[in-house]
Amino acid sequence: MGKVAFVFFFLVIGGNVAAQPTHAQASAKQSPVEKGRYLAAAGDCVACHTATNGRPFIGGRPFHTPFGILYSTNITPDKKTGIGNYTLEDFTAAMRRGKGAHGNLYPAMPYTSYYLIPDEDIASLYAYFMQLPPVEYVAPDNDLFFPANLRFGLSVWNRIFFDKAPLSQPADKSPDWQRGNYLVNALGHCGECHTPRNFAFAMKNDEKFSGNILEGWDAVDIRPAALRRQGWDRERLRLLFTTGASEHGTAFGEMFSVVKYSLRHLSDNDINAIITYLLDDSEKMAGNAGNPQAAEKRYTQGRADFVAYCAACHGREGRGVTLSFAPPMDRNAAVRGDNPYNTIAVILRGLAAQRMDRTNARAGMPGFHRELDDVRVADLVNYMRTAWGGAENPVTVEDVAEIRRQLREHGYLGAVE
Amino acid sequence: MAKIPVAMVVNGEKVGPLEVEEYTSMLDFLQEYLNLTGTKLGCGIGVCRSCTILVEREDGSLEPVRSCINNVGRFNGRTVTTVEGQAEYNSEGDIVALSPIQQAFLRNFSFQCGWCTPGFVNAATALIDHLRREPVPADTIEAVIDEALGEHICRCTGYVRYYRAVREVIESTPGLLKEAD
Amino acid sequence: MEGFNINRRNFIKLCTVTGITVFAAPVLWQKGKAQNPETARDVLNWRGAGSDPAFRTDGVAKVTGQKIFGRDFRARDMPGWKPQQHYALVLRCNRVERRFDGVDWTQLPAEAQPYAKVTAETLAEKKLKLPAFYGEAMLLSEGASPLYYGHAVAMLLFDDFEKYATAKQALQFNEQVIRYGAQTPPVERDPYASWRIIRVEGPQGPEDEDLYSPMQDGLFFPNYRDHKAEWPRAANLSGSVSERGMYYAQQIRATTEREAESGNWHLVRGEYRTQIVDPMMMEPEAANVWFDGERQTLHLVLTSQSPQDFQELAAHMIAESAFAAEIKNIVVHSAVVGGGFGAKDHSIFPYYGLVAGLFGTAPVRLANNRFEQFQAGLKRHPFGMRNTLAIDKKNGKFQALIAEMQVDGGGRQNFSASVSMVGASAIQSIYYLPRNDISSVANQSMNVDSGSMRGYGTLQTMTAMEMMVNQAAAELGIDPIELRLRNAFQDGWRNTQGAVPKVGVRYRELLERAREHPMWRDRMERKRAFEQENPGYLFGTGYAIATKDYGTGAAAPSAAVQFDTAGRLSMAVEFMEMGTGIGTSQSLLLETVLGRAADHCTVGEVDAWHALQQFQTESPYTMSQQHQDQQSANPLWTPVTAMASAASMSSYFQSHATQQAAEILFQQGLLPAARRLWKRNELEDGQTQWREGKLHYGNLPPLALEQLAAEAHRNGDVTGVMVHSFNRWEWAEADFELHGRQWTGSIDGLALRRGGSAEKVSADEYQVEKRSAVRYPRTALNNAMVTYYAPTAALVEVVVNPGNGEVSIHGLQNYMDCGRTIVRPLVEGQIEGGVAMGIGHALYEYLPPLAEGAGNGTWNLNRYQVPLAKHVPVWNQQHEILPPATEKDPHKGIAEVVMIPIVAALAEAIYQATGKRFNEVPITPERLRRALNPQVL
Repeated sequence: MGKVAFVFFFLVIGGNVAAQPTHAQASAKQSPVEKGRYLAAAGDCVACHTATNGRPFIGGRPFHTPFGILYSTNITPDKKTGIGNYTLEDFTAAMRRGKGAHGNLYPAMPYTSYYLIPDEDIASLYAYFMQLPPVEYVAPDNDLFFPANLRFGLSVWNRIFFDKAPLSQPADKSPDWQRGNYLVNALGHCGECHTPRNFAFAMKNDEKFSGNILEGWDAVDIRPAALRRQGWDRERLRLLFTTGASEHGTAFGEMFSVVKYSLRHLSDNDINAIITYLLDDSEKMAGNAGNPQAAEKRYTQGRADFVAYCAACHGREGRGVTLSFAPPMDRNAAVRGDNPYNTIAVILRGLAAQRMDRTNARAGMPGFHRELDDVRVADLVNYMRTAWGGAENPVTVEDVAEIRRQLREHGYLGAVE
Repeated sequence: MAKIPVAMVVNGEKVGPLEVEEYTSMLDFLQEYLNLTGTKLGCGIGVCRSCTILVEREDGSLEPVRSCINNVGRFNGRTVTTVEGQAEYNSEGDIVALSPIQQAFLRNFSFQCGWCTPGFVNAATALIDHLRREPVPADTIEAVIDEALGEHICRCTGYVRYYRAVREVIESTPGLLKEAD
Repeated sequence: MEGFNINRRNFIKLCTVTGITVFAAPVLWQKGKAQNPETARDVLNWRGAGSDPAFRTDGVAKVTGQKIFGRDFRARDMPGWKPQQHYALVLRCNRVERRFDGVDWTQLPAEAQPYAKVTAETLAEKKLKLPAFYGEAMLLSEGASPLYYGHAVAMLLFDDFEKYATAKQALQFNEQVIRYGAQTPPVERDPYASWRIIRVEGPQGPEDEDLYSPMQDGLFFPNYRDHKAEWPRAANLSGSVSERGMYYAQQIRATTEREAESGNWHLVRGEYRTQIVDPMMMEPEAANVWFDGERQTLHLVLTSQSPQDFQELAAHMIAESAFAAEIKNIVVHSAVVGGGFGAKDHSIFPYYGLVAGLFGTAPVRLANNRFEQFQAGLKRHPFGMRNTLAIDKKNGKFQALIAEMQVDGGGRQNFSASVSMVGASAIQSIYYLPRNDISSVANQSMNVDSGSMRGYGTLQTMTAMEMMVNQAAAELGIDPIELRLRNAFQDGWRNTQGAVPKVGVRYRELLERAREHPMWRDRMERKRAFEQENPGYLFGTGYAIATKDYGTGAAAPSAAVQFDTAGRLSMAVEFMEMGTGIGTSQSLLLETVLGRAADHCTVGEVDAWHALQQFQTESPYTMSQQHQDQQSANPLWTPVTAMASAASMSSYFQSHATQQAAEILFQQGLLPAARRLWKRNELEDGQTQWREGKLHYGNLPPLALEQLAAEAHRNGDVTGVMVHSFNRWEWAEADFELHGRQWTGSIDGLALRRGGSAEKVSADEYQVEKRSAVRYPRTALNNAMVTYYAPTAALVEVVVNPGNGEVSIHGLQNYMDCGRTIVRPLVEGQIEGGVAMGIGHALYEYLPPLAEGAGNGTWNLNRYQVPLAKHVPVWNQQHEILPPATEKDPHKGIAEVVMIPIVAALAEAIYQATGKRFNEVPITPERLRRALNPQVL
């Protein structure tokens, strides 16, 4: 992965021109295509527009939405089936306003974030995409329920839900923060997963980044205080974003592919900027609020189950074995976080094996939904959260039952045994 | 080091209660406490499946479980079968009959060094047990075998003869296959 | 079997090393129930009724989980041992750039304290040092810098399992345990070995005397400066061996450049690299060692492939230590090996087990878990090669090969010298090369040490050659198989060393078969059809061939075959069972000579050979012709008494000894009995025949083995034959006086049994027969390097997913010539296993060097990807085994060779599918994805 440097950045939003501070040493040689390639990685276009067989940018990946199944489209410059006939204006319209050549795009395309991308970056992306090898491929037809299957409804949706507020640029924030703000909110479109959505699948911007259940996982609360509570600091986040793993937890589900295809290809400066923005001058949390002694007393079955089911991989007292194999639990972000959803879901579902490259791969984890009932899962989760998370509100049997019900309903149980 | 009482049924025999250090893996329990060394350590992290043993579910069906990544407490009160429990023995402890899977592995020269064999014997036995309860269409047999055994690691014979043997048993045992849907 | 008692026949004296007697115990598992004849009902009878055996002799034990492997045995399983089992763990460095400043013992949990801590100081105090083969610093001294990643610093002994397990969980990945001090420069030493193979053919061509070759002129070596090899500069046609060598080397290079410039020769030039590979045999190494102080005896149960070497070196190690006075006997118990692939051959591991045992107060078990096995186990040598192959454009004939190889041997030398030599001598593959200048340097590094892993250098270099040939074919527009046919080596020709291979080569036949296969013939059409039906996927076909030299140049197999009064055949061979089914195949070898397979075969026998009373002196590789001539006057001298087991060696070398023993037994034991029973003074040679277990001769009533055996026993005839043989690319031959007649055979040691009762081969029943004359292969043959070959070829179709870079194998056709197969399903299993391992080497298996590599102790199978069933052609793999050309074809070793052609065949198929040529393995999905999608970050 080459270190990509940037010269100057102009953010153009609604006619306002704001100087975006420079980040890396100037590299005047970088062509629009090279820059576009980097921006495409930062925008993680490949994650959604990759076919199920792994062919990049040809589309066809299914998205299960409350309104049915959507398929991503072919964004190679094939004239027949891709974006070969797009002009820069067409491309900009699609990126910023969700206006495709054949009508409005569904808001699974994150134009609700990409509208913040300035012209110059759009132009670089356009230059990049138009020189890709064109591939003739047509994604399957969307399978949506009425009335969502009517594209013209989307313009109404856009009118009501597409809030085109400009990127905030508080004067008291560092250039690093400003850059992070752009990467997180615009290109990185982190909010598309981490922000809760309303009935119409629109981001609730007043609850921005407060976490959202997606495909049976909690895309966690990534607001500064929440990240701190989960135990994240600069170094741990850097490890998570560049390797997919840190002592505080590993990336899994969709976040794993975000790391694999996007974050780990970003420059050190950009990763730092993202972290600066995410942590937003928040203070490091002092120590771990957990209390293993109390937890052991209060949740005997939970502790016994931790020892029996979890400790062989996650270590004595949750201290871990070796990170290259499995993360410790005694400082795990999910265990420390406010929302117990992922801890419960991982225990029930298990985790699939995942490979970043030849030297970084995880074996996956068996799911225990068959063997551990709601009472035992609740006790186990409460043991962990009390021992290592300092949780205030215990998880109830009903909480577990509800999560189990949802997961079963969507077919997420039994995938990993 | 805290100890917990451990009691279970292993290969038809009652074991325990024994006082066992709570972080003892099931694999170590079998090997060091019961001297049953047929269950093999390959990777110790649940990847290679040589340590697979069988645990009886409530409905009597068999679940293959990796004994290296589960500590002994998980098996308290359960009924467990290891590779040593797969053949039939007489009162002197001599083998009088082998299971159909064991015979098929022998007949097909499925293994060479034999280290991964116990895991394959148990997982394939669980598969046969499963198919007896839920037969599958004959044309899915290759996928079904791969789903049951596809994670097991063998370094000597390249899987060909294990898969062939299991296929033989499935095809020759009545009631495991049904007509294609 | 009760306690150790020298007066009983439990253990057999093997040798005495400076006052310490080494004993060997019967192979452990053969006491198992499956071997008990009382219970051996039909279902458990391995031989079955067909021509192939029903199953493996060790099959029942393995499929029922009996204790058979070295790792299985605990103190309480060992008769006569103190039943308490103690446990040891080793602490190892995970970094090298800083000084080792001692161990922080406070990291040990209070409730899990060891009763002994062994450090470098302890070893020094007790004068314990590694055998020279392994180098120095068995444990690293405080204040010194680690020599390599994974260097051991201390060993801890625990008196029960729980303490051990608790301490291990607390220490294994604990960064605080080993204290590191000031930064130190990396350890650099001279290369372990350097080789140069220069040859220029004579004016009359391949069969003529060479103008220059190692075989003819000898070898020469470089000087080392700044730890780099510097070859001599002086070149002189009429000078010394090095000056002449350098003259021809320069000439080859100059000619190549000149001919290329003038457009006559086409050059394929490239850098070829292979990775560090872990053998990933399934049974991690283990040892259980009991120092029985009362009886002054040290017992060892090992997982070694080479216990014979261990015994002798261990005895020396103890004899030179402070334990010399306390130990009078060493007993080595060998067991079935749970996969070796060379990683358990001359591994350093058993010596750590030995040391742990010496400091134990009860039997001590040292057992690697997989992280530790990755950290400390032997690896496959990575090769970096800069190669040039010159081809005559007119006729497609190879003109010259120039190869410069750098081999990474890791932190300890082990077999790096010979691996680099064998790799260099193998790069010629199946081709004839009129000129070659091949150099190979085995370097020290701070990586985990590499050893004699499957392939032994040849996998690395021959793969490069095949890649070059495929590239040449494409660039010259010649069909790849046609190009190979034009250059295939022929019987009687000289190899790159100037030696003439001893085993007939059938390369042309193998090549022609593949050429006719539809997968090859219709490859363009098949590609077109597949890609049309599966848009978005790429299809390609690749072919490669390889020929594996096998043997060590000093093979010394022994075998014994005997029958009891009821005609039951039992036998013993020296080779160990590593999974290849040697017990089965060797048993079956008796069938053609003695009428049926052995009822019992002891593999890995070490004790019985004592009856031969043989001794050795200097290294067989370096001894002078004069030394050999002088020593061989003594009828009990042999260049090598015993050898290590390697899978590919058994079928040729061990079979030779077995067959010799069986034939002598037939001649000296059964034929005299037959003559008496048939009342004939003479039986015409070769006119007897075994049919349905009975010996036939003309119209005389057939005799069952039972009758013959009973008669031989009654009359005091020979009832057992034990032989030792020696091979230095040729078999030694000796004359013996038997029954007053001179008998000549390809053996150099013989002992006979008359009468006798033991069920198993037992030294005390045999009487040595001293030879009257012996003819050993000349010591000059040591320069031949290799002369035995077994070829295999692979024709493979792949489907590449250009999106994620995944390669799946669509079809695979293997071809091989293994001479006469002994047990076909065993051979096929070997092929399929070799293919899988080759696929791993080609596409998946990878360890980074140094700090990120296996030596850091955090590697395991979650990251190190070995092929699963989905990665290999489980349902679509065919084999064609050439029928033997003659009845006399040898049995040839195949274990290693099968994994070689598949590697280059895959690389070529990937090229045909994608247009991307890779000279470096593994061609991982990540690399392929990157190469096919350069536009994506």
